[in-house]
Amino acid sequence: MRFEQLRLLRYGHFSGRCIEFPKDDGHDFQLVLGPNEAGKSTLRRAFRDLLFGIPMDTPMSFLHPGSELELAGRLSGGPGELEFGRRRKRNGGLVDAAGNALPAERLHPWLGEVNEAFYERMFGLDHRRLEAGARAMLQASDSVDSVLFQAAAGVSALNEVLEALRAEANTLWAPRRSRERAWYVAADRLAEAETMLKAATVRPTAWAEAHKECARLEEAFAGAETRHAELLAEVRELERLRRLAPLLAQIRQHEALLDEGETGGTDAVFKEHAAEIVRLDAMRLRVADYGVENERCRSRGELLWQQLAQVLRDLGREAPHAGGDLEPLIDQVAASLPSRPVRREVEQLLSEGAQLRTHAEAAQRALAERQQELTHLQAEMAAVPLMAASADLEQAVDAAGAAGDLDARVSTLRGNLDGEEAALRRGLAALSQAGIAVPAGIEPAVEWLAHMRPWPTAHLLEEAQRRQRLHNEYEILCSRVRDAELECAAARLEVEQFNRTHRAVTRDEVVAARRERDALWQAMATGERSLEEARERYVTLVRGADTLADLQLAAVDDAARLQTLQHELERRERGLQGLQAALMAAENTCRDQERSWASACEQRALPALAPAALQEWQTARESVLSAHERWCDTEARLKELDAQRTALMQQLVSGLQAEAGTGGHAANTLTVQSLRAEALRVLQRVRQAQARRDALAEQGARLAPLIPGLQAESHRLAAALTQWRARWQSALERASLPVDAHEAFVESALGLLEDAEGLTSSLREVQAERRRMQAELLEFAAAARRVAEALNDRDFDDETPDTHVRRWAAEAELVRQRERLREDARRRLAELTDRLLQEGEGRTRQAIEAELEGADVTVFAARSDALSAALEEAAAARSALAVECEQARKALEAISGSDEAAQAEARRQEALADMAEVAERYVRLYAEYRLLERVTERYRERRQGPLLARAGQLFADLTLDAHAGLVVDSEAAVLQARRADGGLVPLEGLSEGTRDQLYLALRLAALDLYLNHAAPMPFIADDLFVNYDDERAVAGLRKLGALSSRTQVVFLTHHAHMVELAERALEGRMQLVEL
Amino acid sequence: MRFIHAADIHLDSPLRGLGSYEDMPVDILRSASRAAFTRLVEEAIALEVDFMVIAGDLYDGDWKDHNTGIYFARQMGRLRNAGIPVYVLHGNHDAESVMTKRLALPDTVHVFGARKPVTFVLPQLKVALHGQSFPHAAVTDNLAASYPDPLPGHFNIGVLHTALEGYAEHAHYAPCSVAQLQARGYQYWALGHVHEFRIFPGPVPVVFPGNLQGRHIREQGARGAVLVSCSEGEVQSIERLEVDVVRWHRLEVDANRCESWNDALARVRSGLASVLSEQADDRPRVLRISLQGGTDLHGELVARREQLRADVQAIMAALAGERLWLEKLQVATQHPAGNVTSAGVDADDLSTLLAEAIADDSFHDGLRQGLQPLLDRAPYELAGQVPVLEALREGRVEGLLSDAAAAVLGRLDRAGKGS
Repeated sequence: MRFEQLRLLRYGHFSGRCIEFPKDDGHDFQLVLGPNEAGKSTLRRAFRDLLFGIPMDTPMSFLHPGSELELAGRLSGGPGELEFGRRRKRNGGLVDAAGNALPAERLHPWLGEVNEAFYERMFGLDHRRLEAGARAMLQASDSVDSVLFQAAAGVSALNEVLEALRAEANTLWAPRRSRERAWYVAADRLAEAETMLKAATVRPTAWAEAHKECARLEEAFAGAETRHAELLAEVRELERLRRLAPLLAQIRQHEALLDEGETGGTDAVFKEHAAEIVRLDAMRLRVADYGVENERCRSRGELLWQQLAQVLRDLGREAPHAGGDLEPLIDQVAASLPSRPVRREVEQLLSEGAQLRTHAEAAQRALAERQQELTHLQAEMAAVPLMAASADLEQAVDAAGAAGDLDARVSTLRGNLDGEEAALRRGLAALSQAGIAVPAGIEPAVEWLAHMRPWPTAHLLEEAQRRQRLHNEYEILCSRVRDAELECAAARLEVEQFNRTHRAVTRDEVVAARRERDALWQAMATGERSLEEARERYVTLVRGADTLADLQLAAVDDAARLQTLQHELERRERGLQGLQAALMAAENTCRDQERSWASACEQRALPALAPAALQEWQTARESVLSAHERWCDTEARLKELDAQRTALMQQLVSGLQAEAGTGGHAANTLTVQSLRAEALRVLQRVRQAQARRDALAEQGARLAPLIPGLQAESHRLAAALTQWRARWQSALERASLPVDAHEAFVESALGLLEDAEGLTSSLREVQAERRRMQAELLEFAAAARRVAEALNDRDFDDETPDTHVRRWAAEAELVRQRERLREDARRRLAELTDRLLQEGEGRTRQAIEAELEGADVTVFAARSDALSAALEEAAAARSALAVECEQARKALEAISGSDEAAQAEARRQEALADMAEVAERYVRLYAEYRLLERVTERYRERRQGPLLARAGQLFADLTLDAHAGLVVDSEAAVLQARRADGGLVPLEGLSEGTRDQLYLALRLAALDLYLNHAAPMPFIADDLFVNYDDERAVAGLRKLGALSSRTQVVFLTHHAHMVELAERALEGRMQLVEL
Repeated sequence: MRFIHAADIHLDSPLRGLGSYEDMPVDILRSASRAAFTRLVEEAIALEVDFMVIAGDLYDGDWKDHNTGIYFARQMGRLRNAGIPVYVLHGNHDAESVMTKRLALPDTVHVFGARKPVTFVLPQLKVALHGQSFPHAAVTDNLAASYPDPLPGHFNIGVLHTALEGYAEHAHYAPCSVAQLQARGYQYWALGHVHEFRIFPGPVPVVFPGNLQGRHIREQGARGAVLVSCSEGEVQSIERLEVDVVRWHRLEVDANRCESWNDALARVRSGLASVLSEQADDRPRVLRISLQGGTDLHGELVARREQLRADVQAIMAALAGERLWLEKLQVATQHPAGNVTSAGVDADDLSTLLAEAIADDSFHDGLRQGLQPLLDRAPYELAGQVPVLEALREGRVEGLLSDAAAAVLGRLDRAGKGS
């Protein structure tokens, strides 16, 4: 089968493209050349889609909608020719030449059992697959099975798929246990669930046993509790008696003690005088140290007297002699001292005098300072110059401030003016086009534009549409003429091809052949030519005439067909002539329209442009006129501002010159801002001088009135000081101090007088204390005697009353203690009686006494120990039974309808489901893996020999005899290349390019073998030799050329030089198709 | 008068075939049968029915956990407190169960004897219940034949655990015919044993309520009991009480002429959406999805089952969150041209070689030997869940290999395009 024609009616970016694939004698090599983006890949896909259908998700629907995609073509082969088409339909979209649906089986006679996948693998090869195949071959180089199979079958990813299958299967299951494998993870979960199930499952017999055990233990626990309670009651009874016996004994003892009563009369006497004895004892304790105290007071009096004498001596006076009683001496000294009011007066005058002196000095100092300050101010004011501001200058400064930054505004406006002028010139330049002469200069050009009368936009649009209609009609006619020309050419070609392939014999030719035959016969008959000489020629002419006659008869149909084709050609040529005439008429109409339009534009002084262009031009003209208006406005505003600026500057300069001659700068180098700044500085200096003079005058005015006041104060203080001196001398005299004494001396004498007065007071206090102690000692002795008489104590004597008082106090304390003991005994007896009745638990004393009367108290302890031991034993037994009982109860309660076992079973089922999933996946992956292994082995078994022989030969040719062939290392089962020198090279040792060639050799060898027993199919090669040098590319092309003698080869390339190489390799036996 | 007729409770029987998923609502799924029974009891109390009939198979026969019985007894206690007596008939599973003999039930639970037919009479309601429990698991006698005559003036209910005239899914126990039951003179036949809900036409309702909760993919659709309302000695209505908490569905997705992976997923999505649209409640659904039909994608679908499964699960999660769960995804598609392996193309072509291998017995033997270690370690229960394993054990590998061949071609094609 071969492609005769491929028509891409609506496919990819093709529309109505037809490609013919004529066959040369003996070779069927179609070289399709198309630059990048020309549609080479689309063409390659179109071959496959034509044969096997356009997929619904085809990427070829980017221009034409998917539902309109359509291919058509013509096949030839064993059963003959078939013209058919393909549309994108779910059912395959096979249609005949008229567009009627065909069954999919219609192609079977041409395709046989070949399906799309097989066709792609066996009859399609491109550079990408070539490289991928070579790479895969290298990856599988340790297995000759894989190398041969994937190279020969066109399966490039065999090894990759095998590895992926093995790896995935290994994650699922393998005989060796691993936590990484899903099977064992699920199996572990299954085991875990089974363990949980076993633990949670409670069999009915187990429940019954638990129930029974629980009942038994509850009964035993109840018995133990009873026994424990009994023992506890007995122990409590015994303990009660044990507590009552000692209580009763104590009660009886206390009762006996109280019964003994009061002991005698001494205690009564002492109780009667107890308070007096206590008071006397307290007095005893107070006067005990009075002897020592009296002596201490005497010593202190002597010391004070000595100190007083020293003070008097310091005051310059004589102290009285201290012999005997001190009290008269003390009174004498006290009378000689000045009184306290006199001393206070002297002190006050002392302080007053100091103050008066200080104030007088301060007043004198202040007066002098103010007078000096006033003098200084007057001198400073005389030094400050007298200045006044100019009203003109101030007015000029204010005007400059109000006008703002005139310099910047002028500068900006000037820039704007330049920009607008440039824009205006650009606009005018844009109006200049071919055939439009814009006058030079802005004003002439603007005047020229202003005189024009532009078209309304609607009129231009209307004119443009009219022109577009004419143009479209013209284009359509052009297209139709081109189509008609193509159709004529096609019809002509068809007639020529028909003539070439079906040579029709005319009647004239038959008549001419017969005439030539008859002429020779005539010559032979007349003897003009001899029989021997002309016999062979005559036979030839007879056969030729017969053959022509036969051919004429046989080709009646062809002649008819030829005539039909010629009629068709004639019809198409006439149609073409009609279209050409219409095209010429349309051209004339367009030309007239152009002329009329140019004339109308001229009348309006407009350039003769096309309406669309003229619309743009008119818009540009409007822009230029607007720009001109803006430019004029800006220029006027600039002039106005410039005048204002000049006037202001003149005003400022004259003001400055008038002020201090500072305005003498060149006016052209100054700006309004700089002049204003200078004027502001001058005005500021004038204002500062005026302010200084004002401040000095104000200070002088404030100082001058102060000076008379200060002078009056100074005089007043001097008079007060004189008065003070008179009062001072009077006071000193009254204080018995020298009237001329210095103030320091007076201050010291006043201190000594204060000390003397203090010492006399202290001496008087010491004397009074001594008198009080002597009186109290006498009172103590009298009181002691009175108590001795009351106690009738015959041992008492007046010499040592304190000894007896101490003895009486001790005896009184003993009497008090005895009374307290009796009171305690009574209280204790009451308490014991209460406790006895309480412990007796409601029993009376008599009943208790009766109980204890009959009991043997001596055995209480032994009995109590025995009972305690028994009680402990019973409690332990009860506790143990309680624990057992609780456990049994819990065990029984645990069997309370819990769903733990059901949950565990559910988990088990989940784990089983997971294992099922894993098992199924593993089995499927394993089956896939084994299948792939098996097919590769089987292929090698069958095809290794012939395939290697043929591929080796091709490999040698492709490598330009650098290698001699291919061998298989039988031990290692790996494929190796044999170099020309006989050396062996493993696949890893081959260069990348050589591996590509080896893969190509294997592919071509497999194809060769296939074609040995199967019908040919077109082989599509897509830019196979892009990385080959020219020589190797030529070698490859030769091999494809050889293949083209067996089946059609379509070689797609976008390299133009490949055409030259193909010409060289195939010696011209190829067809070139350019896209 | 109203009563509930339930059967085939199979308490604590687990769901089978559903693998573990991360976010699976295990609380619902792992205790489905209990939850369904609890709902039944709650319905009975809420509806204030007069009594309840359980026509056999309370427990799974081989289930040993006594907790299940205690749970049942507790639920019976709830019914007792609500004043609802229960009439229980032991089926083949109960006869096997050790729990049946040991469990102490409340006095309002009446169990039909196994030695001979027993009649319980409810005098206030004028109802007579006749029934006979299975004495042992495999009862092949026609028990109904010896049921007593109807009690005159009473509403007579026949309680029977039976396969009737035979169901492929169920053991053929206590056989009898519908005609025989219809002729017995009772007013209602409360049957159990067959897990599908069915009411046989005729003058007397003969009813299988179906089991209470679907447990695997063969028990699809709604499950529960029936509420029977009677008046004047006749059945007035029979309503289904759908108390199941999880439902099983089989979704067949037509992948015929699917041209792309996304196309196939879109069809699955559409199928799932229709399942959801038919779903009026929030019960989780467990689905078995089967892709069917002829498609060029067949090879890719079988080769990328795991990816397909993941994509389908993603769609389910996106559509319904925790309401849909995938039990199994079956790829049952075919290549549109028939068998992808054919011997007609070329003797050395891949598809031809694959076809040869599929037909080669020695290759089958090798495959089985290779998988034997896995078969040896697979728990016995797996055989029922993995048809491929079962087929392997029985020596049927053509289907497996046919799928594998398609997957191989799909993988090679995909890998070739990728490279």
